[in-house]
Amino acid sequence: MCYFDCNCRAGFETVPVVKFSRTTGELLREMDFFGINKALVMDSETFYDRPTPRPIRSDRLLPVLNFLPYRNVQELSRENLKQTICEGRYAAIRFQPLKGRYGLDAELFHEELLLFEQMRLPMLLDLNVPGQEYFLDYGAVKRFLQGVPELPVILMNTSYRIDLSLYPLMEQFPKLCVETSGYQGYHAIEELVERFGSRRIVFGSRYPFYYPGASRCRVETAELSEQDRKRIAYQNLQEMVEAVRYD
Amino acid sequence: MIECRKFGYSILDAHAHIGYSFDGYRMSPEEQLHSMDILGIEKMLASNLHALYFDPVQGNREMADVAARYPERILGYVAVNPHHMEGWEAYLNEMLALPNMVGIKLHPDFNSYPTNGPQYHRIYEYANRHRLLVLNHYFGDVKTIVELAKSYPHMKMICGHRCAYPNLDEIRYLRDNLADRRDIYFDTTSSCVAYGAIERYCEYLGSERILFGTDTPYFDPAYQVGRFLWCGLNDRDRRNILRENMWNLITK
Repeated sequence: MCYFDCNCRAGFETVPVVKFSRTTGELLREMDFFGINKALVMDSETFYDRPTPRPIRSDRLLPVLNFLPYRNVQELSRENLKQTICEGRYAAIRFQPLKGRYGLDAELFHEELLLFEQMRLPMLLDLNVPGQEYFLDYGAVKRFLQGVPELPVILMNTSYRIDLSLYPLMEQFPKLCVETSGYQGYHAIEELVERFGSRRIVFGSRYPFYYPGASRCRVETAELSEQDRKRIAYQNLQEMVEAVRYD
Repeated sequence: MIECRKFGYSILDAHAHIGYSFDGYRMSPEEQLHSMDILGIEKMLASNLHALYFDPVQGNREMADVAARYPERILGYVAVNPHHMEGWEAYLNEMLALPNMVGIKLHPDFNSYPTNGPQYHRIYEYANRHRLLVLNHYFGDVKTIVELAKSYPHMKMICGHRCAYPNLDEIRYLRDNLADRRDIYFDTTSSCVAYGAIERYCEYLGSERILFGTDTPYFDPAYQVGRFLWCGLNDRDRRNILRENMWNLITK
C-alpha cells in the first residue's frame, strides 16, 4: 500500500526531539525506511518564523508554506502571496494560529483565506497548544470555518479526545478532515469512517516528533475495506493536491 | 500461543485497562481480546478503570472476574486508592491470592495524591515485604524514582509512561543511580512517545528494563505496536521489550 504523509517536517530542530532529518536526502531515507512514498513537507526554519524559504521539493516531497499573517501582511500582499505560492508550487498551507497568537478570528486574514479557498489549497490547521492538547474549541473552529466553507482543511496534531467537538464540525463542514497521527482513540478511525466516509481522514505521521510506524500500523490494521484504507493512506491527500489551481 | 504475524512471537501488554472511563473510553474484554488477536498480543495485564476512578472494591472484583474468565489472556492488577485504606492489608492479601491477580496498580493523578505520600509508602512497604510488582501511573521525577528504588529494594517497580520522557539528562541519571536495580522497569505506554525515545532508553538503560504497554481503551493499540514494527532496535532488544521481560516477571 502507498502512503502519502500530510504531516512531516525537515530541517534543523531546536525543540527537544531525539531524531530529525537535516536534509531532504536524510528525510527521503527515513521515508524509505518507513515505507512512505510521498510527503507534504514543511521546512522547520519556517516553523521558527523565518521568512519564506526555498521550498523543499523533489518528486516525492511537496512543499508546505507556513502561513504567518503578521509577516505575510507586512511582506506579502495578496498578489505577492499568490505569486509566491504559484512560483514555489506549494501544495498546502500550514496555519498555527494559536502558536502564533493570532487567534482564530478569520476576519483578520479573510482576504488570504479567500485566496486559499479560491486556489483550493489545502490548509493544514494546527491548533495544538502544549498543556491543552485535549481541547478542541468547537465554537472558535466553527466560526473560522464558516468564513471559508469551501477551503479543504486538515485538522493536524490533534489528541485522541476530540470527538465531542470534531463530529459536529464534520457534520457542518464537508471539507474538514482529520489526520491520523494524534487521532489515536480505540476504533476512532473505523467509527469516523462509518459515520462520515473514508474521505475525511488523511494519513499523517507527525515526523520527527512521533514514530511514523505508529500511524502506518494503525491504517494497515484498521478494520476497514482495502479501498478505504488506500483512500486514507494515499488517495485523499493526492486528490487534494491535484485539485490545487495555480492559474 | 498466538503468533504475531509480523514479529514471529506474541506480545505481552504490561499496561492496559478494562472497563469504562469517565470520559467515554470503553472496550469490553471481548473487544480487547479481538484487538489483541489482530495485533498478536497474547496477554495483557490490566487494571479496572472503575477501581481507579471510583470504587476499588467493586472495580477490583470485576477485574478478578474478567481475569478468571480469560485466564490464558488477561491478568489483573489490584488498584489501590490511598484515600480509602481501611483494612487494606487484609484486602490486598485476599485479592492477590486470587488466580491471575499479579500486582498492584497506583494512580496518583486520578486519586489526587502525591506519589511520595505516606499512604503510598505503606503500599510500597507491603510490596517490598512481599516482593510484589507495582505499576504506578507516575512514580514521580527521576530523583523520586531512585529514592523509592533504594528505599524498597525488593519492590518491582514499573514506571508507567516513562518512555514518553526522553530527556537525556534524566535517562543518564536513572542509568547512573539504578545500575544495581535490574527490576525497575519503564513502560512505553503513551500517545506521544517521541520518535527515537525507545532506542534511547535501550541504549542507556538496556532493553531488559523496558516493557511494552498499550493503555487501552484510551488508545488504539495499533499505534503502540506500530512503533516497534519500524524502529532502530535490533531483534533481541525488540523481543525483550515486547515479550521476554514481562514473561520473566509473571512466570518467576
